[in-house]
Amino acid sequence: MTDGDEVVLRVPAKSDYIALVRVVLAAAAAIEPDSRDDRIDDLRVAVSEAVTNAVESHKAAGTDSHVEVRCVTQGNQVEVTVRDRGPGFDPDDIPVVPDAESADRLLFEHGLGIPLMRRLVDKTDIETGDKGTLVRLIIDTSLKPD
Amino acid sequence: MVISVIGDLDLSGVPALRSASIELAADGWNRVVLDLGAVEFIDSAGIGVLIGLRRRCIAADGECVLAEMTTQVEQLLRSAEVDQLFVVSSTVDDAKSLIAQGPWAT
Repeated sequence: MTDGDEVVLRVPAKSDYIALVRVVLAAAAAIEPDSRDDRIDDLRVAVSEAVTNAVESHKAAGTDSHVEVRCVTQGNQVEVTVRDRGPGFDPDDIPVVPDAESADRLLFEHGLGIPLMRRLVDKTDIETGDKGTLVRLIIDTSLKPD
Repeated sequence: MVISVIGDLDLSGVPALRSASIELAADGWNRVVLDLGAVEFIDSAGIGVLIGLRRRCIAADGECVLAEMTTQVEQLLRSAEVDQLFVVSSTVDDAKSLIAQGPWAT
């Protein structure tokens, strides 16, 4: 999305700043009067997951670079991008979490973040490489998909 | 044992609960009621610590009951398809009764 109202944040890659990003982006996304509260909640979680991954990526890489978060709104169409400068990851290397019915499910405390992002917003794109990762989240805050 | 959680269960909030969970298990506590009534936000980091807590209780022949879940917590557990992993109660008192009566009560 190139036009629209834009909010840009550069935050330290520290967990204490994740809540700040959530608050700012949720407020920006909720400006349209017909935005749905449940969709704003979905976006809050998806953004939290993306920024959490960015913070952990910077921690793993030992870099003190900031995480860049950009939110563009056009009416109820919201696009959020989260960019980190971490080492990237192999999308095929994400552990497959067993179903809740599986006896092994309680062994997995991690691995839910990216699947959750994909479930909660309308579109999720992830570009990752050795110079960092860009996560793009797109959501229509007026519509709840079936 | 009742643990009341206040605030956000995200990357910044989970270390305290994880540490408490591990310490309780080390001290032999295997029946835990987790009061989530004051949790304002949870994401997958928070879900992970809840999973770890229940796993430790079950491993010690006990149980963990989640009580007073807020709407956001309840909806996210469902969205993450992990709601079936937990024993849930609407109130802390009911959770305490439940945990006192179950097969793990002795």
